[in-house]
Amino acid sequence: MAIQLKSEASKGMALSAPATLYVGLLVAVPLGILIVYSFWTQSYVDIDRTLTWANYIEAFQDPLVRHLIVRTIIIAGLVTIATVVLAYPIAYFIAFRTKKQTLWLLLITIPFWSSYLLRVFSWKLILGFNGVLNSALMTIGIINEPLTFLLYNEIAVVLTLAHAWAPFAILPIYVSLQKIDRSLHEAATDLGCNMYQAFIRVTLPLTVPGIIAASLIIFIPTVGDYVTPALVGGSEGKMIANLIQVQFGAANNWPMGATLSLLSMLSVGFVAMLAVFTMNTAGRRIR
Amino acid sequence: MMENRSDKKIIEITGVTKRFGSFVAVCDLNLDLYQGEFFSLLGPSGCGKTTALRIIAGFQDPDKGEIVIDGKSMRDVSANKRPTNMVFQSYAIFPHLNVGNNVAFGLRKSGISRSEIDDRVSEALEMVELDGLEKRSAEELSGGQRQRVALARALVLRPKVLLLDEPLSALDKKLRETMQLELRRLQRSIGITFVMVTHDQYEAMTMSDRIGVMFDGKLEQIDRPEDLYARPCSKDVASFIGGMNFLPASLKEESGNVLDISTPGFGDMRIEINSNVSKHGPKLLTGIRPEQLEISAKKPSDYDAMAQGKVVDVAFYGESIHYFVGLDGIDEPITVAVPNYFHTMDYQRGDTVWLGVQNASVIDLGEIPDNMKD
Amino acid sequence: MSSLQRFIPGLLTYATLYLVFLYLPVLLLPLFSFNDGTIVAFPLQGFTLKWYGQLGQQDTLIKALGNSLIVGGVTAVFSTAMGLFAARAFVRYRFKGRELSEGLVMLPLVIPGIIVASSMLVLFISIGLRPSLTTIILGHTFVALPFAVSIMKSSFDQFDQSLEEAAFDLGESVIGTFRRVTLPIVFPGIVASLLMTFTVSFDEFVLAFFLSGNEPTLPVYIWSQIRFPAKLPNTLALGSLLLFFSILLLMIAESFRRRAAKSQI
Repeated sequence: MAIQLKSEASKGMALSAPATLYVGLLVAVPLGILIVYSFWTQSYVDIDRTLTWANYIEAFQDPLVRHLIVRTIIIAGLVTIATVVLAYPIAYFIAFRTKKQTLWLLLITIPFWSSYLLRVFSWKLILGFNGVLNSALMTIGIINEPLTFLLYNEIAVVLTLAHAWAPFAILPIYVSLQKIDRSLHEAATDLGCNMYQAFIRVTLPLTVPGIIAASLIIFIPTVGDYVTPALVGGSEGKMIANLIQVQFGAANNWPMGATLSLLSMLSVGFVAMLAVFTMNTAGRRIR
Repeated sequence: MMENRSDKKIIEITGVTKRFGSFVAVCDLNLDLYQGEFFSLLGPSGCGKTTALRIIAGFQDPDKGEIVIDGKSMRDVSANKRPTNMVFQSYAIFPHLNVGNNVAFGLRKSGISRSEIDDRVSEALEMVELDGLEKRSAEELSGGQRQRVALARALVLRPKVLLLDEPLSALDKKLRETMQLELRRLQRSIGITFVMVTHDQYEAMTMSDRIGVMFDGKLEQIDRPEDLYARPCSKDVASFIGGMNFLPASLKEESGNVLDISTPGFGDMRIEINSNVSKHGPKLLTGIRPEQLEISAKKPSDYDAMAQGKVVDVAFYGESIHYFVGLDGIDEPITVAVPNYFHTMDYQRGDTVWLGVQNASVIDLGEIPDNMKD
Repeated sequence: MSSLQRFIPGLLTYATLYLVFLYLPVLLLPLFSFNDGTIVAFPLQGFTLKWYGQLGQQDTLIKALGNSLIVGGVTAVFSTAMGLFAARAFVRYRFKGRELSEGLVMLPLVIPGIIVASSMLVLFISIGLRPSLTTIILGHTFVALPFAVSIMKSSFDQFDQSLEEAAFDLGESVIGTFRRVTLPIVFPGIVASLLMTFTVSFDEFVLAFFLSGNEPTLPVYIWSQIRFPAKLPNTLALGSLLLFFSILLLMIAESFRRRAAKSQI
């Protein structure tokens, strides 16, 4: 086409270059520097620039680090499962059981147009010892003593994050449900499936891509989440991000911070790949 | 059909070829279009007709060949500088502008005064019978109105050639038929050359002075609609335009412009050579239009050739009835179309019937194509 | 269909309860920001506006608000400009590496926040850039870019390419076509992107926390206030205001986005 001048390809590249280069550079360069840092060591206020595996060895030998990484992955896994399981029926409801789809989607997303920090903070107020839930329950007279198991533990973290990531689970699943041809469900029924069989054998396998997308979108940021464990996690709910922050902040040990960042990134990648593989296989097993 | 074209060539296309990767969209296209004619490029989807139109418009540059419009080479003349305007398949009505501003779009350039623009816009809208709708917003238009706005928007610039890319395909059947006649009338009254791309044979036949039939990037035949129907140059063209019964035949003798042939079913016939056909051989293909066959219970007397067969199926079309008649020695049943004169269906499945045909109705389609040889 | 009939009220009840779960924490802040008491617990103590009134007297808050407005504004312009060009390229042109680059610009969405924050801090220090508003802007542009690209992409997606061809065919130049046809039609998308990216930046905490140095943005300021129980009611009032404006801005963005989608039939 004449309007595209001589080379369509070069125009496309030129137009997309700023964004691509910006993101590319801000991903690649810091990552490179992070890797270099992880092989340096902190000696008091100075950084010792001899390349060494010392940080990695220290990280692997430190039971606290191991413990935190394992706990982070377990919590992130729980958060992912809880969010997806809680969200799936909503996505299903919006896709198939209501005519006011736009309204429901809007209702679901509005709360997340508010500051994440404030939403987490609000959960802290709800779950606290003298908090909203306890005082409400005591006012009604259901309990006499404040419940202490609500705040500062893994449950609080899972609950808060299941709330925080809700639309990230609902939307991809909703999209994959939407794409399903309605007549497929009818065909399954016609071929003798009841409602639940039709769901398990037709609808659910077809939404596996949506579930995978939702899981990744939730799992990855959860591993790197700093605010929630800091506010509602207590010492039981601390996660690896809090330790990383300490290394870059109070402890002032950047090489160790870099090492921990890389280690958590690697474990996220590994676990995510494993999970995607498992879900894909499970989706294909259904007959 | 009355023609209103002159002998003046308005577009000369020579040797135009366009490739997309290894796919040849248009192959060695040679075509002259005349001042004031309504020309259609007809073919199945993917045959390269739209690409050919876009090359004329200047949206695509040909890899080889040249386009001359009104005596000027269009090499290095971009679409916005060409004396052609286009009606897009989607109509491409600017959604942010009202009808008046859509039509005035191409006029809003240096040199034309506001009042002249207004005059020309209302004149153009009058031409497409949308007078007074200048202020109507683009989103409130019906499909037919959008098409009229697209027409007015292009014609207001007084192009030498108007290009129409499947202009009626977005409309429903009723409206499409009305617009066919209306477009034809409009073209006659303003006398501008129209070049239309369509995949609809009836549309092409009812509207055009001449039709170019395209297959696989190649222009197979250029002719007036009635000639295309009577003397198609190949099996492809014959089957794309109208219904056709194909009969293989063997050539007994060729003398002057007459062929003596022998066919299974109908026996010996003497038919006229089709001047559009390029090659003859000992094995020929002939064609008979379904409406030119006679069907009767008794053996007809006044036909050049006759055959007896059995009705294998009947299809009712309303204005006509199609009988499918199996003949000995022919694989495909012969289709016979009978006008529905008296609301009766005279023959049933299984009836034995006679078919009759005149020599003049048998079309010579040249040497039998390879895929039909035994 | 009797089983279906039983299924529907069950799902509707669940959906309603889920909405309560979603809205509870969001509505709590405004509720208690009007409460005449310093602890956040039932029963409510009475209505007051004093917590809001005190906000105006806090200089550090005003300063932080100013910082956030600057960072948000610049971030919105940068990310939307880059997103506009990139989206146009992705939707319109076929070129080598398009899919790779389309995936790459979405990457900031899935990199854990702490890693983005720590690696950028290390990068900026390494190239001698002190933590400041500039570094926050650079970081926020990175995080906001996927939002800008996807909004602009959906804006270009439904844009009928023959509209541009039509303008060109009617004699307009390439630049004139962009100005008279392309720009007006994608304009709502641009506004939606500006508002959305502004809000993303305005609400972002972790990056700002790492990169802000001694120029806090509003979320960083709030973080510092959360630790002081005495400041709690003020924080609630501030949070409620933020909540209100975020939702307002994004509602406007959404209406522009819808208008963008609607006008391109």
